[in-house]
Amino acid sequence: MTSPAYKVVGQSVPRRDGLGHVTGKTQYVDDIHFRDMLHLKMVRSPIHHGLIKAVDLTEAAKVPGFVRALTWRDVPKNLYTILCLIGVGPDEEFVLAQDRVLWKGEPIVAILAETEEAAMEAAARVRLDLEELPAVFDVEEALKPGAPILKPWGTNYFIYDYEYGQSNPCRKIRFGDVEAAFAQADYIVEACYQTSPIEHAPTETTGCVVRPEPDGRFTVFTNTQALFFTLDNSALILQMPFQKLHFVGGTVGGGFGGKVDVIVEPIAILGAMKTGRPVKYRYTREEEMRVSSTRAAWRMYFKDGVTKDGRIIARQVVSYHDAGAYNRHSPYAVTKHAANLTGPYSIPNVAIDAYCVYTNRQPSSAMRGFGVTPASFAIEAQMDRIAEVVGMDPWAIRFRNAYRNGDIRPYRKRVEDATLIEVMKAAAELSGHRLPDHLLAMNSWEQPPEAPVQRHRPAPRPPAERLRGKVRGVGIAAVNYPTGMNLGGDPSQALIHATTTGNFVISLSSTDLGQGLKTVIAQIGAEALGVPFENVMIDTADTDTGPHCMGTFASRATHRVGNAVIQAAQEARKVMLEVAAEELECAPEDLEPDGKGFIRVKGSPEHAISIVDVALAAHFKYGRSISGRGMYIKPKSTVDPDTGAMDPDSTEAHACTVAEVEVDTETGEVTVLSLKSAYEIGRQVNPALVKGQITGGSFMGMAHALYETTAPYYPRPDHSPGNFAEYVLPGPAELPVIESVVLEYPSVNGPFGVKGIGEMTANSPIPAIINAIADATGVRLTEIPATPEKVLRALDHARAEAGL
Amino acid sequence: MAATIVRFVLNGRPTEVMVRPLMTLQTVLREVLGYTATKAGCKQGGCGSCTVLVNGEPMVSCLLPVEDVADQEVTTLEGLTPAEGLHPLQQAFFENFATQCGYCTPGMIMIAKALLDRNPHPDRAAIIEALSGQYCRCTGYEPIIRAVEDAAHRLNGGRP
Repeated sequence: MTSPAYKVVGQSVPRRDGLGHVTGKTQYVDDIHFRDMLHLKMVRSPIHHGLIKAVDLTEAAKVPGFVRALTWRDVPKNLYTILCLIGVGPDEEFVLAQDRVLWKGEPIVAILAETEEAAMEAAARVRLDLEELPAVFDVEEALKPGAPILKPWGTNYFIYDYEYGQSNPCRKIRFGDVEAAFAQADYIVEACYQTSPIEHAPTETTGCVVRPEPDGRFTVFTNTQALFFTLDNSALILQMPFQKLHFVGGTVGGGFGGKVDVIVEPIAILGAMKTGRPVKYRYTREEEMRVSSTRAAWRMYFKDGVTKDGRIIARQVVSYHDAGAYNRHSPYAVTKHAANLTGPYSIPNVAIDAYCVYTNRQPSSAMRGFGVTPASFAIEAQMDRIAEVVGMDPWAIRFRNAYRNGDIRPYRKRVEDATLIEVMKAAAELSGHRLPDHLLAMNSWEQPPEAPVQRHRPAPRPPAERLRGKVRGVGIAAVNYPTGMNLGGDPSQALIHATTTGNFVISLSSTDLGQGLKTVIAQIGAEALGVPFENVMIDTADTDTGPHCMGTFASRATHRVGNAVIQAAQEARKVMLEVAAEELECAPEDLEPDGKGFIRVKGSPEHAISIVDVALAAHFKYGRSISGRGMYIKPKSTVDPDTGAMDPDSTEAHACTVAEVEVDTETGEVTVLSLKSAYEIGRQVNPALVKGQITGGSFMGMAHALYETTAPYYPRPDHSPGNFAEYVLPGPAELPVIESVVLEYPSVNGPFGVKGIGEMTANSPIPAIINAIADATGVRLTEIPATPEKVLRALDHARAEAGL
Repeated sequence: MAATIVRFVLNGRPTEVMVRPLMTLQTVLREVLGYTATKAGCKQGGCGSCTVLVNGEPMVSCLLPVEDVADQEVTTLEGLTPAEGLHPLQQAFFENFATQCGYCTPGMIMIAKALLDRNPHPDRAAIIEALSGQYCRCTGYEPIIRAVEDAAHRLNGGRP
């Protein structure tokens, strides 16, 4: 590990937006009001699947304050799919439903009114004449003959690889020969894992305000996570020149992937076009829960071939992603999921079939950990199952199979930044677990010894001790997480210019979801320029002033934007030093900025000039612009339709969590006592912000593992939660002890070695908790959330089997 | 029903607004008076982001008809912020990285203010109890609990 003498990078400087947050002066989209602003409310489908026979607006139009309604006839290109921007097709979602609805909540008519109350009242008075059709809510039911067909192309699955002249029902990965390896295996370990749909539940709901401008353009104030992505899709839907739209955002009251869909903006812009007035369209909490996309539910059938000495030699997975009614980001999620189904382990023979399946549920889309969170849960629960079958210790099985640098992953990418073994050692130490010497002797740069790894698995306590009273257990989980998503190309740009005040302005169109992008980008810019952090201004995010950025998702922002900022800073710094050299009558290479506002002669620091004087001289004396342009692009990768060979990401971060739980075997309630994690994320730009991600993500992971689901509790699918009382989440009273350590093994391609941490922090706690429940009780749960009911049913079953 | 005039004291200043019946204090603050520090996370009384103090008592302003605060004293986060610098609670939230997206922060600070006014030496359990009606998706609550502990320490004359 290196520890370069950075001045700002690596410091826990306070958040740039922190003072705005604690004084309430940070402006969010919903804080924007215009005097003549209209409110938009949507009339939604009350049924899961049906034909629209008639829509009657007569009574709605009588509501005082009603201004106008919008139907599908008003939308220039009503049929769309958001990933068309990266070549995913065909179009299959309607902005406003035409003759059919595929999910309960699908928008049909938009109402514009003078007040929010009037818009709600008018929306409630729109009469819909619908003919209900049979609906399907289960991914495997949807694929059976006789299921209602939801898509015009005649299947209930997304068709992959049509761009390569193929028509595949799933994303395939093929590596080695699984059948031959299964024949050689000593054990076959099979299990089916199931996750639930989950609501992002940001404290600020999705919304936008659109203002028509006198020049015929539209300013769109939005909390989208991806400004240009949303702008481009809106322009396509509205069939208007891209240049007519001006998106302003960058301050988001929580995203977690839920604000990457393009849902509210196009129809709000249309409303502003049709009325000539500003329009606000903001989801109610009920809409945020019942209408905005969810994290998808997944069902994953694992079959692993394992040798007696604990080597996993084959893995076959058939995985079903519930996309709900429409694509949104789901086709991509399935590819990312498929690529990561071996997790951080080297398995030489792999066959994956991952299906993107349509049902009549609320559409799912991106959420923190996009396709990898369910994979990590299944993989790590499966690792403990394998360890049990083979009779090995959970640590030993992971050390034995951990991928090493130089290994080839099933999607044909060479592992170059593995640190799984290192984070496992650090997590063991943090949690007070003494690892045996032969595991401590391993590292991620050397292959494991040929000799079988020692087992160390103690005999389990007898059922009578594990299935009665309150019992405690410890579980571990180790995960990798990829940075970026470049199957569509993954560029970001940055511009930097100095003003005559000595400030350097970084112009971006990137968004801060609360993770702290504004702060870490200022740190990276200050470090690369060699100027004080306070002198770096971040102008985010505006599509008129900031160059293009794909957006904030896939743990990409610090990596991509940071790289672009460094390149821009280098160009600006070169001019700054050249001007300083003229003023100090020396060569630019003899100068260095001190990071405190001065540029000094190396070896003679008393010869110095302030950055303000350099900026003034550049402008007034030399006619030079201290500015720079930065660009980062990871070239677009193709996917081989037959093997799944691809290059979908830039680098891999790693984490290992040790969870301790207490299970009340009488009630099925699980209390998480502690979550102790080690992370390796390349470089920490701001350790306090990294810790914030780990603590918040650990808590979210616990919530996912034990509490959260938008799926109705009982079989009827029309009882989904619409408020915080119905959507069960843990609160501060359930907070476990959360501790973490962070290792730094800089990546080759990240800014100052950054990898990324935004998404991965909820991933390892989930299987660690599920594994801890198994350690405590002997009961292996395969479905999350592990609600008290599910735990109790499993315990009752185990008690019956044990004759207790 | 006709609009009525409601008078109350907002952050120490006599305030008079014309309101429709059942208009909430939240709507009056945010949309009539432009006091947007009070947030609107759910309008269902379920997230606490709109918490304000009425005569020192914490209330969710989204469920409170503004007529109910007639002649009462209402304090929002704007009223807590001094002319220069920050209130010790704000300083503690800022320095302890107790904000991420910031949307829950105003409600968190107001509930903490109500707690510390009543109990200047709260233990961790008391802080957790006070925060139990407040929703945060980003932080996992731990930094917020620590910020309240730190603020209590500062208000009691301790060093940060």
